[in-house]
Amino acid sequence: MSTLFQRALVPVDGSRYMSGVVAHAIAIAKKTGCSLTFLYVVNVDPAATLELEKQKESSTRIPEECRRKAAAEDVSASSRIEVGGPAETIVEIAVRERFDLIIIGSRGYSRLKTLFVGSVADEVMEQASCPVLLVK
Amino acid sequence: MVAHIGGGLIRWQITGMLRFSGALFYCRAKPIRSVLDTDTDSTMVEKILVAVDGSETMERTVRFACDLVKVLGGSLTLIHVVEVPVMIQPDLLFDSAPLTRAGEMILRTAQKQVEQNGLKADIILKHQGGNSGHKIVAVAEERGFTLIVMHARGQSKTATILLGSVCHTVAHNASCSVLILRP
Repeated sequence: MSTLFQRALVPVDGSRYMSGVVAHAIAIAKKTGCSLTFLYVVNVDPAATLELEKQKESSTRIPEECRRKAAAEDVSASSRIEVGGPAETIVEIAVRERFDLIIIGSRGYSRLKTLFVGSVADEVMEQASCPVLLVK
Repeated sequence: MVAHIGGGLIRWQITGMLRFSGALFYCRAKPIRSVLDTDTDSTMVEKILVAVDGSETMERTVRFACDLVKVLGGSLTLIHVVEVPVMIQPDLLFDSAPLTRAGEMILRTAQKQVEQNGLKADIILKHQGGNSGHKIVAVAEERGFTLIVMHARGQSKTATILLGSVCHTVAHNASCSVLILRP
């Protein structure tokens, strides 16, 4: 096993583009022996407590599903949910917990789409302090 | 009577809306389940394209790419794009020969570093007017590369926080995955 990557952070959003990112992350984890942490960021104003709990509950299954998928392929993985702005939270966790890779999906099929929905990936790329793998 | 009909209408509209949002939820929920169905393709052979520019980050980028190939397998190709200035006056002649020579030297340096790591790498030298990112994307598409490795910041020293313009262009336009190294 190599020491290239030890721990990779994989932000997931439950969109239909997610499966490709998860598959890619698992393939890399298998080859490098790194562990995966699937992160779902609940993007809600923390003041709205009721809404937050509801959303947290309903979104638990998103990273959990990914974790189970990775575990089925003998990849050590964990799942977690955080609350906050998606890009800032991803970058902050990656820095604080010293992840050495962020594997993130991009929906860059057309420029227009990138402009609208790839903004999280864009911000992560610009602010991260570790390598970022942009999965297309 | 009118109130009754009005109430009925509103009720009909509300159930209709509920049904509609139910359908929306179903559409959104379905793809999540498909995560379980997707097979991971770990047998895919990586064709890695490493963009080099001769800057101080190049050595780290090449070393990283070598480590990556050792783990993932596949092939390694180094690319350098000579950025030819876009001339406002077409009759002004620009001699790109020195830049080309410099580019060749950059590629040779990088190639030597790859060989020191016990690996082999092909080299590609291209010319492009303006942002070289477009050329990198075009080459990657043309030759079917599966991954582009590059550093977020190359020659320009001012933009440490933001992405370099070349990196930004590649990240946004490439149809294959892009691995971006950060300082």
